[in-house]
Amino acid sequence: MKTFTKKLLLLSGALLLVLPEAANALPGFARQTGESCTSCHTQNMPKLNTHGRHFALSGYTLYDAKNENQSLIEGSEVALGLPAVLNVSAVLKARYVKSTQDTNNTEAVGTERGEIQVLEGSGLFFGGRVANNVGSIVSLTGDPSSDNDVVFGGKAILAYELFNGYSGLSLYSTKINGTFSGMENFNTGLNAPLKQFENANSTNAAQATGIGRGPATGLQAYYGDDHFFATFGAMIPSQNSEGLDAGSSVIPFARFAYNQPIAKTWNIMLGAYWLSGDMKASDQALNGELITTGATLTNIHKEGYGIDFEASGNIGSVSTMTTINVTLKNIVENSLPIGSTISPNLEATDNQAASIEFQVNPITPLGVKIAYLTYNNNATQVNNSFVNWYDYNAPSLGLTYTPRQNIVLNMQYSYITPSGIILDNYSEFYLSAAIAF
Amino acid sequence: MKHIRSSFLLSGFMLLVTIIESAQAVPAFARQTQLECMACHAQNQTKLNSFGRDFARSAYTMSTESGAQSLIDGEKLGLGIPMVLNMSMMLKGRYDKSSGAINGKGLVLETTTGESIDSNRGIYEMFKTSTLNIAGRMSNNVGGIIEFREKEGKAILGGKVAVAFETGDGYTGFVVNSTNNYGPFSGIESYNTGLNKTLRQFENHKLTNAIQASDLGSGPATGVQLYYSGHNFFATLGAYVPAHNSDGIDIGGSMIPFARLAYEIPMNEMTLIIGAFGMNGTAKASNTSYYTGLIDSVNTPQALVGVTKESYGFDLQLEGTLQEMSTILTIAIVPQNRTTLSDPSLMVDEPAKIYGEPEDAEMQSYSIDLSLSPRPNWGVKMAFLSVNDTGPHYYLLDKIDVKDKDVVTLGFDYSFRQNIKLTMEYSMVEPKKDGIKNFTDLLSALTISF
Repeated sequence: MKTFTKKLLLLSGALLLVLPEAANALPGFARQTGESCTSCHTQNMPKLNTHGRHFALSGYTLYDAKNENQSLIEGSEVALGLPAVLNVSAVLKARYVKSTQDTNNTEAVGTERGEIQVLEGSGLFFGGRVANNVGSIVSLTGDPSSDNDVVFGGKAILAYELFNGYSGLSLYSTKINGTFSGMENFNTGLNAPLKQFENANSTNAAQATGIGRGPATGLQAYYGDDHFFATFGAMIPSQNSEGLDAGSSVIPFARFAYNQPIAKTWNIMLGAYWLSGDMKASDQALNGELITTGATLTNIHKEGYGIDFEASGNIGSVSTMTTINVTLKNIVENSLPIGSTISPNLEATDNQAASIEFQVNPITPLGVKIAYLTYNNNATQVNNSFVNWYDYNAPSLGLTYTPRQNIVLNMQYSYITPSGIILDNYSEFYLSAAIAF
Repeated sequence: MKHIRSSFLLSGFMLLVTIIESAQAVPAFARQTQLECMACHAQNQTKLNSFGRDFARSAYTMSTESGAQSLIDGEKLGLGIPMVLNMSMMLKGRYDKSSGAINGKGLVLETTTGESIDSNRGIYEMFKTSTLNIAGRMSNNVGGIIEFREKEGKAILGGKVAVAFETGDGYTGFVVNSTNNYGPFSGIESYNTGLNKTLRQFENHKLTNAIQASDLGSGPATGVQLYYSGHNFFATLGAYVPAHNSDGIDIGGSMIPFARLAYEIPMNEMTLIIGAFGMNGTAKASNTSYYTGLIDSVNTPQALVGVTKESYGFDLQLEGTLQEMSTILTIAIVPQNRTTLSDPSLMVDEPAKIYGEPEDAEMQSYSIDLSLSPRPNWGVKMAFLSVNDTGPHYYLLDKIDVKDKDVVTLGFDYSFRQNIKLTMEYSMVEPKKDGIKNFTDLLSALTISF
């Protein structure tokens, strides 16, 4: 029975891999700036290059002044600077996922049987420039993980030019992109959409540990230019548009990165990230509802830190990107009795992981990539559906084909070797297509 | 560490305070007309000026008719559709901190062990009441607003379509309206006295505005409305059912008639608007039409329920420039807002699971709100509200008359941009019922429309 329970947990953990992801390659930005997708993206969307980071740091406010459709409606007595059109994007995704987990005496179901996911993770995205010095992204997506028809997500950013870059303030609320997503533009997985592999739980340390994904609502101050990026903020690890009664008990976090351009085509980034603190809110607010009758307060403690590295550039005419992420510590503790209902990302966790990912594009539209992830679970309890409850190593291989700048096809294979437990080795196969327009 | 967190929040908040200037319009209209927001709005986004009222009464059809807004015209049949579909978003983030706030039973919002929860603890509301709007001209003489919003994870579609023709100095029109939130008069109501929920002086509408506090100018409504507006005169006549259900409302012909009159008196640099409104009638429909949650009820059968409304009131708006300051004074008086259900037990899924926004049966209220803007981008405001709730409470039988109260509110609006507004409002509430202590509420809201 214990084995069977573990297998079911394993399967539910695998299903988490297919939760929707926010897109970070938005043709609405191409419409606003008059530039092609590859101006901001390297190798394939959604990975950002230097100009893409610069655009994000500007609060998405840069625009095409020569384009009549993007002209600004200006204010007289009070400033405005509103674009003449609302730039909108749609992102469509379809995936086929096949895993080889064995659920013993049961007929194969879910990804073990082979699952087609059409439109899961798809959505509408609005935004770009909002006014002078203010930009925003707002997403409207479905939420297959709950009964919700629709989920709002997004951020509003105030940005000013400072020295050679921008300083700003980001107010954000997301269901999936994680603590740092108010402003995080490197491709190391600290912001859920910005990573090298689609099946991030088996390839990226920040995603596998959960420190770089999940619900978050917060405020983030930052400064960034071509060399430095520094940010600090405070957040609540939850999203509930009906309200979060956290009072002033927010969790602080910080992130620092140094980027060194080398020659004309190379960028080497070394960074670090940290969060630590407690927040307390009613259990019902944290569970997606806000019903005050009979509520109790729940304390959530989060603690984690890690380092990341990104090297991107050309070898000859061949584009490459290497990313390393080491999550040295990631702890989540809550004051609820075991068995209480709570959002998955707030379930107790104690884990760490390290990953290295590499992609090379021998020709512009075709990328070949490899990854290796090692993951350690230090928690004793197994009732966690947000992260894996066992230690494992996972090498992965992948192909990315970009027939158009806004169309990406991915094929990825991961071979997972759990250690020290009764689970057998298993594999995951991903086939996915994403179209943004 | 706690001190650091509090300091961070405070400094972040103060930073926001120092950078934000005006917001709650529909920028789709700015795109259509190529006019700045303040062409239609007075002081800030939530209030319309005279031109904004004219634009609404034109069925939102005024357009630059050039560039991307050029019209595609018909030959044998009229058309006049813009080349682009104009859209906009309104985002709202709020932080509400109260002290001693109570629920409908008069109990302070806290856990069983006495720890503060909800707004007494301090509550963040991101995206609550945020909307996506498709709005503006739809054809020659036809326009409207389609609104998409989310509530408790559910998608809600509302909106209105209006037909308007120039008549003398104004417009004559017809509106079909269905809203989950903005009340029976919202088909065509353009003054800032709270009769249309979106047009009011304070964000905290339940603590500052009599029409909102008495539940007369909010809630679900589906109806039709005829109107005429002249240079100094506005009159509308309509009928509605207090429900919003896209699957259908089986009302037959039983709608509640309502009417509203307003007269504008120019006075040098000011304009005085005096108005009256009222409704009297019964709408009968299935309880499942009013509350779809009852469809799955095992306790309450599907049955017809009659909802009778007997309500009337008066409003006044004084707008213009006083001592070189933009000034808006609004007064609302609701001598009676009475709701009677033919069988209240059919509207509740026992044991007391409530659907929709519970409406109290009989309320009286009055309010006076004043906003002064020394500068175009900021203003101060104050309000006094008095509410008398005489029950009975159909939906929460153990509810008491805690809405009996006097409220004094002070507020501040700052428009960082015409479409970005920060509001702070502080309310001091004095409940009239014995045994219930006074409480306060501090509401901060950031509204961004784009």
